[in-house]
Amino acid sequence: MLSMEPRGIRSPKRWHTRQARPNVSVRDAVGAIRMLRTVSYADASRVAIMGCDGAADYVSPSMILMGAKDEEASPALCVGLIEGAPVGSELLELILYRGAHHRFDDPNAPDAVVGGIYRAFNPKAAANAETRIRAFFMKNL
Amino acid sequence: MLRKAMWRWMFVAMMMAAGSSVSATADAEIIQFKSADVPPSPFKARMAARQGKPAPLSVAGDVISADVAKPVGAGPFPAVILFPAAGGWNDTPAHWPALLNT
Repeated sequence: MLSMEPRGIRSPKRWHTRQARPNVSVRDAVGAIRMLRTVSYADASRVAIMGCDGAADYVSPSMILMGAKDEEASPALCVGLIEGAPVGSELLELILYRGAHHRFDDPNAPDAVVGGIYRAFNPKAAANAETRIRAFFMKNL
Repeated sequence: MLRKAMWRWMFVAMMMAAGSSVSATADAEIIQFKSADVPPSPFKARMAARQGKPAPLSVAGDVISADVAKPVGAGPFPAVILFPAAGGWNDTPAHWPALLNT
């Protein structure tokens, strides 16, 4: 998971800058949870983290939803992540959508190669992902 | 607003400091908080120890802006922290609060 935009860093060319170091999104999430502890409207003991482009830095239960043909994030690496996860990670789930590409859940994905990566909306996969996410929150949050 | 009364979860969407709101509602609140401090790398700590210098300090975390969208009422509500994709927000996460709460 990347956390560049909250710092005004949008260009991949700038991801090497100080603010774009590894684990930066983990620290941002920690900061957000600390903030939630200070506001009366939030229950900081019930927090989920949701994002795109890699979210393997967090804890179980976790759910990864991705296109089996994603060329940007690696389905094979995610399978390895599941297989190599430590004891206690039994609720780490990976859902691969057959034939789905990068940004399968984005109705505005161009259905074209952009920056060397094929990006296409997949309505069936997107609807299923939405249902799964809602159920995940209902169960765990 | 009527539909928002049915919301179960609040959302904290990391955003650009001067960016557009990602929440679907007009009464969203922009908040700022500090990212956790950045500890010195093991390499820097080793180098300092080797050179007899004091241990390097953590660097203060960056200030992060986020867009809070929450259900009607006082709460406390369970929260979802939303991160944008690498290229920034696209339309789908921008609509997650309304999409997932309905």
